[in-house]
Formats: sequence, structure tokens, C-alpha cells
Amino acid sequence: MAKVPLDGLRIEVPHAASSAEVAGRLEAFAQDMAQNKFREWGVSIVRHGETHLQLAGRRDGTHFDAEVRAEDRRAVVSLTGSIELSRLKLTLAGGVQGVRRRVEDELAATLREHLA
Amino acid sequence: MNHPERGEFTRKFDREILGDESAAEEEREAQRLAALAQDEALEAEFQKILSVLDYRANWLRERFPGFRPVGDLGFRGRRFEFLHEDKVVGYVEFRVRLTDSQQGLRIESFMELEGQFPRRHDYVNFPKDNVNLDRVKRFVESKLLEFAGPYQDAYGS
Repeated sequence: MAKVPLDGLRIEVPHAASSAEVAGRLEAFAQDMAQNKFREWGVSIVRHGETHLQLAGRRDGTHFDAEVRAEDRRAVVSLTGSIELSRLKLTLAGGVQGVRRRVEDELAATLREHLA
Repeated sequence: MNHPERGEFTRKFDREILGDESAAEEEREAQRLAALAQDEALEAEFQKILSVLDYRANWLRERFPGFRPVGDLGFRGRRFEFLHEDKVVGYVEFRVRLTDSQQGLRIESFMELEGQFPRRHDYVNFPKDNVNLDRVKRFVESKLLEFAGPYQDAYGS
């Protein structure tokens, strides 16, 4: 098995929603992550504030933390943790950078979808 | 191998890099269920609006002897006609549909009253997953009152 570190991944998506609206959208994003995107990782949501959430997931050798918060006209997700996967999958996915890019793309697309 | 617990990310990952057909099938099934859930949620929003219109249909029936609702419409909504001496002299119509962008729900009102005003049109939009029922009620009430005053003045007993 191989481990791919997620530390340092940071996704920023601009938005035009009001501060009241962006809280609801970040919550919907968090629910989508927990229930659909990364369902098998048992994602839990901790709410530090209306526009500041923390997602944490863990399964087998995989674990991650995602800090989600709204900044000035942007939503930002910062990741830490690592994904454990077979060496075959790692190779086919394009190595460490390939896996990190896929995670980043998925998060960015999901965030954009909820902030559109 | 079956992976009923896979999330969307892992399904996509396995389908793309392993060519895993079971992941592709799971993805299609998940998309079908998501589309179904969306349709059901949208239908629930439609029904919320139609229930407001049905409530107002009863309200109008009790107050205006010349009132009649019209069935078999070619659109989602309600049409209320008003008669005088067995002749339709006016109507108020509410049509409910998706906006052109498909991102919202639109309630349109049309009305006309013979001898008083020609066809009038107005509308209000809502996010398709969050119709504000109070705003729906206010819009419907305001349009009915806009019609009822001139109708009462011209044809009321």
C-alpha cells in the first residue's frame, strides 16, 4: 500500500453570495461531502461558526481534515491528512501528484457547484 | 467486486483509473437516484404552490357567485374565471414553471377584465429548492385583490 499526503492542498473559490447565504451554501457543501463525495470515509462535521466548518474523515489507512471557511468574497478549503491506496491505483492515477490533483479537482468542482 | 459503500469520489476514481465497470454502473445508478430525488423535491415545491392556489380557489368560491375554476389546463397552475350573466367577463391565471435557466421556479400571473383592463402579466421567481411560501401567498393575494376590486365595482351585486 502507498500513502498520498494531502497536506498543503488549498482550494479557493470566489463567490458573490451574501454572508447569510454563504453560510447555508457551505453547510450544503459539507453535507454533500459527508453524504455523497466521501461517504465511505465516515465524514463528521464540526461547526466552529456560521462560515467556519471542519470536516474530518477516517477509514482504514486514510484520514483527512478539511477546514472550510468563508473569507472576503472567497470560500477556502484547506486539507491535511493522507490517502492510503494500492500501488497499482497510485501508478494508474499518475502518482502522488495525480491523486492530489484529483482530490483538489473534486473539491473545487463541488465547492463551485454549491456557490454558483 | 461489489463496493456498495463507495462515495462519489472513489467511484469516479476507480472508474477512471481502473476502468472499473462496476464503479461506472454504480455511478449511473447514483446519478439516476440523484435525478429522481431532485425531481421529487421539485414536485414537492410545485405542490406547495398549487396548494396555495387551491386554498384561494375555495376562498374565491365562497365570496364570488360568478367564480368558477377551470380544469384541464395545458400548463401547471390554475385558471380562475369570473362570469356575469353566464358569460366569462374576466379571468386570473397562475402558471408555475421552471425559469429558462432551469435554476428557479417562476409563478406568472395573467389577468384580464372585460371593459376594465386588457391582459396584464406579472411574475415572481424563487430558487427551485427553496420556495418561500409566505411570498407565494402574498403574490397570489395581491394579484387576486388587483383583479377583485375592479371586478366587484363593475359586476358585483
